[in-house]
Amino acid sequence: MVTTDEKGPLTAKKKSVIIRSCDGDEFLVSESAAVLSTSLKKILEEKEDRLIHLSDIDNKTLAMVIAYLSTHADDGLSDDLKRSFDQEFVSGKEFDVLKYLVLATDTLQVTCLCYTVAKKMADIMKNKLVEWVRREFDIQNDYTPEAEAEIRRLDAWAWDDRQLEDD
Amino acid sequence: MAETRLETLPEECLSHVISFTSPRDACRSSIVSGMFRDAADSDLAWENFLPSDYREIISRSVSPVEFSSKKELFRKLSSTPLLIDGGNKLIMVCWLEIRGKINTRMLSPNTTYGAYLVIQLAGRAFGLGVLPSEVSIEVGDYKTRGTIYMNHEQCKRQEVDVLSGGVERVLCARGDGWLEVELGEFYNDGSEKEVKMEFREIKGEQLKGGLVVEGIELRPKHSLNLEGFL
Repeated sequence: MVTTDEKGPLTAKKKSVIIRSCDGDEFLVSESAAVLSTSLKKILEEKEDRLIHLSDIDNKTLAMVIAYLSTHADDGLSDDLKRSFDQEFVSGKEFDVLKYLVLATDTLQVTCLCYTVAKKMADIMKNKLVEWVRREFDIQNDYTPEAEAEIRRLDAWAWDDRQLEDD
Repeated sequence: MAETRLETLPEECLSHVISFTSPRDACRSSIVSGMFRDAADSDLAWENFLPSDYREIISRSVSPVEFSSKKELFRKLSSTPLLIDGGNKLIMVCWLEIRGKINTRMLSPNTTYGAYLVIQLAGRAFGLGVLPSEVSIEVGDYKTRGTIYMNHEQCKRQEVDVLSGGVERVLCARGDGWLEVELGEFYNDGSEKEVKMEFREIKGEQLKGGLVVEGIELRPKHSLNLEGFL
């Protein structure tokens, strides 16, 4: 499957690349959008063919990143519009979705988006119980009770659980 | 969807996320798991919580500040006061006014600070406790004020609200031979502002003397961060 990016069919003049997600979906992206990712830019400089296979980014996440890249590559949009796009982009997204996004933007080296997503995740994480963090990040507590007590002793002031949230 | 669980998220990426939380959230993150702790204790995570010009601050310190990580430096800066300016002794005046200014750049962002006047009262101190002294803190549009009595007898009393709307504070022994009194507190949201701290007793025209001022100490109040407090 080949999906064109948001700007619609590309003209013959504009160079484009095909990016394939780990689950096999292919996205046609203008080169000007692709090179906003430092990793993609490096790949394009090094290889001849225009197909890039990303083995660790799924189609949903890739579609979001490409929408971001295409918007930011659009010279017709003002910086203000791009900024409000960024805010809109992360607002209301589930924490789980943001996790995939931050990983993808880190891999693709899309610095600005990585920053925006990381900040949004941090805003959600603030004042949350440790149990919440474990649940949302799908992490098992691997400390012994003694090790846990030792860490709590180090920064006792941080462990006042009053007013922390669990949802 | 592929299994890209966050357990496989690079430590650096996780540190990046944690760096946007707060010192308190970062400390609590260290107990999530061993891997999470490496990310939460990293210099990358703590760099953001230090004042942007911390290098200049510690270079001005009277005693050298040694640290092995940014988190340790944060702990040191929060728990041990850093004496940048020396002390002054008041011989005798009738108009007493002490002012301090600091830029929020020198402080950690997203942190509630208390400002404390650190003093000693010489044995022959006089005229200081006759009338309450006024204290205030101003940060941008935010202003807080209160009154204090400079009496030894009131050292151990707790803060009491007074009818004037401000807060009445008392001197407390610090355990290092100095006394301190809180001038007020404020929340540093990270934007660059000037903090103006003031202590004054100008109503009573009696002579006052015997006050030794070490300086004004700012330290994080490790109570909850009340976001949007200002």
